[in-house]
Amino acid sequence: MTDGDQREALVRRAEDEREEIVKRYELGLDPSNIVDPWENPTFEIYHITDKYGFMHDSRLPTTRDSQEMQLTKIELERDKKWMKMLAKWPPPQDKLHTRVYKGIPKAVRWPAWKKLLNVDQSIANNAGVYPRMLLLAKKYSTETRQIDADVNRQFRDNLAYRERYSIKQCSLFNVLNAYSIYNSELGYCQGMACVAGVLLLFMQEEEAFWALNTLITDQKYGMHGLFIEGFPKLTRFIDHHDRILSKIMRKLHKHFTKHNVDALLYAIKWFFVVFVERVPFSLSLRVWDIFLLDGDRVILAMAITILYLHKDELLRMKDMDAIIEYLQVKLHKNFGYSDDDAIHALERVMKKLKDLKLDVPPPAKSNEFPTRTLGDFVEADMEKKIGRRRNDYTDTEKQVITDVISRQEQNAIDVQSTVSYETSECATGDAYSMKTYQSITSLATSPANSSYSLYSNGYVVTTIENAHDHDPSRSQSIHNLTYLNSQPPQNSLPNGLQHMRHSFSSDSDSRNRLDLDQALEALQRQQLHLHVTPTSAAGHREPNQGIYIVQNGGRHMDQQQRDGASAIDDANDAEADDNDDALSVENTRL
Amino acid sequence: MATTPRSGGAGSGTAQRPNGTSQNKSCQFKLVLLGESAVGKSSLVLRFVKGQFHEYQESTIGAAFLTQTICIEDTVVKFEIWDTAGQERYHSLAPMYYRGAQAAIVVYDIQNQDSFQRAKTWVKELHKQASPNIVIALAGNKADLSNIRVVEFDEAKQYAEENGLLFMETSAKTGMNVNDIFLAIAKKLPKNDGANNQGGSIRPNGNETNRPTNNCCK
Repeated sequence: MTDGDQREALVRRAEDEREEIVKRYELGLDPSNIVDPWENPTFEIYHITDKYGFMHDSRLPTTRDSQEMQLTKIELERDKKWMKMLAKWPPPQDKLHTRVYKGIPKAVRWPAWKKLLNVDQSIANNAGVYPRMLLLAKKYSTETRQIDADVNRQFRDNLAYRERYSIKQCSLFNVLNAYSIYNSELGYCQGMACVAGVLLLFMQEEEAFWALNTLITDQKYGMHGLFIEGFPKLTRFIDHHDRILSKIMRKLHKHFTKHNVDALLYAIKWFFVVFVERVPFSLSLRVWDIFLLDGDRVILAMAITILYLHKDELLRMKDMDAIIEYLQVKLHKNFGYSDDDAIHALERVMKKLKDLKLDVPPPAKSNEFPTRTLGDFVEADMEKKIGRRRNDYTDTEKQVITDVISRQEQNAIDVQSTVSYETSECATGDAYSMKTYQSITSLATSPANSSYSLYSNGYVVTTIENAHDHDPSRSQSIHNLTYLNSQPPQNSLPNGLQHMRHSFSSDSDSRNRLDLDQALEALQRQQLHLHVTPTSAAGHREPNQGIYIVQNGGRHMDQQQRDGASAIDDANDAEADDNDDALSVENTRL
Repeated sequence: MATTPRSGGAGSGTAQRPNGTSQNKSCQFKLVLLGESAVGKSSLVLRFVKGQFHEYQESTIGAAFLTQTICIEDTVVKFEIWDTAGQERYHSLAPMYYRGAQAAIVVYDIQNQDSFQRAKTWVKELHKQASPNIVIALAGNKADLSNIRVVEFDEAKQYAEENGLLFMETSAKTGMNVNDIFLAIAKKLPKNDGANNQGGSIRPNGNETNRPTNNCCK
């Protein structure tokens, strides 16, 4: 083509362009005139979408304040440093640590997360595996229906996932479906869609698959144990969370116990999806950065950090609704601290926990990791294939129920000590004693038996008023304890616990039985340390309206039990000391 | 206990509510939603509690907790609602939520026969293992899609009658029968005189504790 020809072609193009534009104006509002959505001011989507692609209810500010400008400037500087660091991987640990805690800049999260999760290495070591899993999954996955249901509602307020069957939605489906075959023992558990969904915001499909696999199977993250049937890691982490709380935030722990705010109620989602949708997205990414670097202990520390930062607010709340609403909804919308401040607090909490040797939970049991070889294809059994629902609980599930219920029993006992304590302070009048009565009966097995279980552990509970009033409905919470097995009550334990022991004593799994016995013993030990209201407290009120808890000599309190109960003693000391003591982070300026 | 007379110095859960007349009784009930994944449990709650509907309600992990207060005649009824995760794997956590519940709504999707079968097994489990007096309602959700239904109204109704359940077809999307089903449950729950009725505020822990909190006698 000569220069002349080229010029002529360019002129023709300019003419066509002009003609096209003029034609559009001539058509005006004629319906045949095609207008792209963005051309009209009603097109709001870009005004309400943040930098992560999430859409908000109203327009975001159009101008950036000086603080934000400053942050952008800092982030640009960090981009450069990170690019250099990524080119010379692995960097010195302390340098990496400092930079990750400052926050991985958005622009380099893709390569940085891939490095932290060893993604490229995994892909190289497993050439051809992902496509094979994908093919097998299309034919054999038994989880497809559930995955589809969840993909259809995961991050639908994010531009990447907004449109049905968009590229990212399809990738999310593929990754989860393929993974359900690759790790067939785990299959798919709700929560994984969120984890994979976050990864896919920063990675390509196959990368996200291997990143997910690392999070699930690597010892450092071990999410397998969270998602597998029976949730063994959840139980272990919740217990450790409680342990930390009872040691360093006693007041809050007591407050939660009093209002029945069991950690299981607020921490499942924290742990399963690493705080996504429970704190603002930008903050959850900062937590993810650190989680990817330092592993699962970060999750425990972040949980404590959240409670620490909001402790005063939470202590002011006087019922469970408010507390749960605050932790589930309010903090997601507005965390009340800048991301940097929250991360600084996290860093200090991590240090504090390390000093107190509380940063690492007890080691995982073997059931938290895959036992089958990953990628070995195992065809599902008929039940799974046809998606038939089970009517009965598996042994593992029974164990979960037992664990959960013994936790609750333990809480009930803790609460009991609080109640009796308060009774001595301020009990007057009908309504009050009635309420106290109610809480006692819920500990025992039925109103008629309310003195029974506590008696056998060294206490007599006598309710004078209403003791005759046997309303079967009142005993319902206790009734529920018996659902595993309806054996008649036996000695020395609250009936519900006795039932639990019964239901498992016929269990072939001896490990289950052992754990249960240990749990029950621990529980009995605790009961011996119930905070006792002295009888003299009755002086405050009408004798026939009150409730009395009388120690009958504590005949079960032998040396062995005392030895095992030092933690409880600590808790009792704490009760005497209204101010949380020096051990507490609360006195440490974070 | 279900009824806390206002004049008696109600516990913390009810202290902030504006009505304070002594004639009004107030009850608190724990209600749990059960049912297969993606049948619309969370959407029913969202419609009932906030009057909203989200096409793409995120999947529930673990459980969510919400409350809503309604009035029936002279009684203020507060529902403490536990909305559970539907996936089979979370089944073992369910007893934690239905323990001590006074009411349950078992939800299925009228377009999905499996979800109806699953609802039946939930009902069976509740009958066997929940409180003996639990009021159970069966909700055939997504009734706005009744042109593509596979579970017939009469079939579900008959099942409900045979098993002593309240039954309604609901639509969280249009709001159809959503308030009604909660109201029907509230009516069926015992709300008698002050001291003697059943524990309305038994928490998931199965114990009754946050009644005697502060305020009451200081």
